[in-house]
Amino acid sequence: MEAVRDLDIVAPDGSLTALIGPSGCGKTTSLRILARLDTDFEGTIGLPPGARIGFVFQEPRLLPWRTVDQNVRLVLEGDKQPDLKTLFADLGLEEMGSRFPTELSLGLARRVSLARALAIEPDVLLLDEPFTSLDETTAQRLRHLVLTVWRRYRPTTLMVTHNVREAIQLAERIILLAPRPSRVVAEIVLDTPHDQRDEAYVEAKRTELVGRYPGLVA
Amino acid sequence: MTGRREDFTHEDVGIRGPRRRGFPSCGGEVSVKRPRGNAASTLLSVLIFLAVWQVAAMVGESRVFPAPSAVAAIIAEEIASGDLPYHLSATLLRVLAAFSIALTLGVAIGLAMGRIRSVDRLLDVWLVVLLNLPALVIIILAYVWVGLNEVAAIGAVAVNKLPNVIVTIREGARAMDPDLDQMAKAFRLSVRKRLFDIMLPQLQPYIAASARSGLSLVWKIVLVVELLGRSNGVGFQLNLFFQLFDVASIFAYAISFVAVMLTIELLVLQPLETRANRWRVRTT
Repeated sequence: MEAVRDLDIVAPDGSLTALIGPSGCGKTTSLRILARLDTDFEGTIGLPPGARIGFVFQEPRLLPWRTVDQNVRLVLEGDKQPDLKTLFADLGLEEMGSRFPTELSLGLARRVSLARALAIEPDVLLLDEPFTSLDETTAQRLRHLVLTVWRRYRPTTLMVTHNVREAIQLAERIILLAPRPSRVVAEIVLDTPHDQRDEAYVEAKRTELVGRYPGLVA
Repeated sequence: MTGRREDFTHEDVGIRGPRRRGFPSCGGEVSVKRPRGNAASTLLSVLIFLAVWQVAAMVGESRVFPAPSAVAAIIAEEIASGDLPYHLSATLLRVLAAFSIALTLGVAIGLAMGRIRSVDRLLDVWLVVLLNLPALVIIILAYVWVGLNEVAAIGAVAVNKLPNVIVTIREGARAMDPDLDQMAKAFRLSVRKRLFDIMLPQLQPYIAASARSGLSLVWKIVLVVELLGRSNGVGFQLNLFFQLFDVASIFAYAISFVAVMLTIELLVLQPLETRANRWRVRTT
C-alpha cells in the first residue's frame, strides 16, 4: 500500500517544522521512515552520518517496570551517566525520578517521553502527535514545555499534528499534506516571534488557512 | 485405608493453599501485613495437617500409617546419623542443577521460537515430540546412551522439564508489546538492553509460572532418576525403604523434602516475585 508519495521536505538545522493534514495522509509514516522504523520505501533521507534521532511517540511507550529515571537513562549510549537534573527541571519532572510510569498521568508520562528523547542530545527531534488525548490546560502546558526545550537545545524538530492551532502556535514552518496519495500541498512560513503569537494571531492565521485550503485545514 | 493414602499424596496442595483456608476470625488481621500473615496462615495449615494426620494414624494400622510422632522420631534419628542431610542435599543439588538448565535453555529457546517464525517452524515438531515423550523413556534412554552417571541423570530431568518451559515462554514471547520493540529500534538500543530491560521483564510472569510448576515437577522426576540409576538421594532411599516395607521412613524422607521445597518457595521464590512486581503493586 502506498502511504506517501513525492514527499520532499528540507528542514533547516535547528528549525521547528509542523506536518499537518487530515488523518490518513501519511504523516506518521513519514516520521517512521525518517527514524528508519520503516525501511520499505523508495527515496532518500539526507541526514548527517551518525545523526541522533529522538522520537516522541504518540503514546509515551515507557517501560512500566522501570522508574522514570531508569526509563530516561535506558536510551543513553554506553555507560554515560550524565546529570539529568537540568533536563528534568526544564520539564517539571524534578520529583518524578523514582516514580514508576504506572503512577503518572498521561501528561506527565508524555513529559518523561520527551525527556527521554532529549536525553540523547538529539540532532533531530521527531514528535508524533504529542498533545493528543490531553485536556486543553495540560496540552497547553506541554506545548510551552516543548517550545522551551526546543529553544534551549535547538534540535531540528519535526512535529506531526492534525491540530492547526497548535501548529500555528509552535512552528516556524507548516507543511500541509493532502491524502491519497499524500503529497505536499503548501509550505507556510511563520516568522512571527513565538511570544507575539497570541490567541488573536492564531485565530486570524487559522481563518486565513481555512480560506486558502478548504477541506484540508479544519 | 487407600482413601487416606490418597489424602496424603495430595498433602502439598493443602500446604500451598493456606490463604484460602484461613480462619475467618483472623482473616482481617492477616491480610494487613502480607509476609507475616502468609507465615502465620502457613503455620496454621501445617498444624491442621498434623492434627488430621494424628487422628488418621490413631484409626489406621501403625505399620502402614505411622503417627506424626513416630515419623518425627525417625527424622531426628536420620538427621543425627547424617543420612537425611546427605541424601536430601544430593537430591536438592540435582533438582537445582536440572531446574537451572531447563529454565535457562527453555527461556532462550522459547524466546527464539516466539520471536522468530523460522525458528518456530524448525523446532515445533521437536517440541511436540519432547512434550509427549514419557519421562521414563527419556530417563532410560539417557542412562543407556550416556551411562549411569550424574550427567545422564540431571540431563534427563532437564530434558523432561524443558518442553514445558519452552511452551510457556513462547506464549510470553508472542505476547510482547510491539510498541516497545519500535521504541527500542528508534533509540537504537543495544541487544543487551533489549534483552534485559525490555524482553525479560515482559517474560517475567511467564518465567515465574514456569519456575513454580517447574520446581515441583523437577523434584518428582529427580526421584525417579535416583530410583533407577543413582546410589544416593531421596529417590534411592525411598526405593530402599519400599523394599524393607518401612513406611515411616518413606514418610520421613518425603516430608523432609517437601519441607525443604516449601522453604525455598517461601524464602526464595515468593520474595523474588514480590520484588519483580514492585511496579505493579504501586498502580493504585
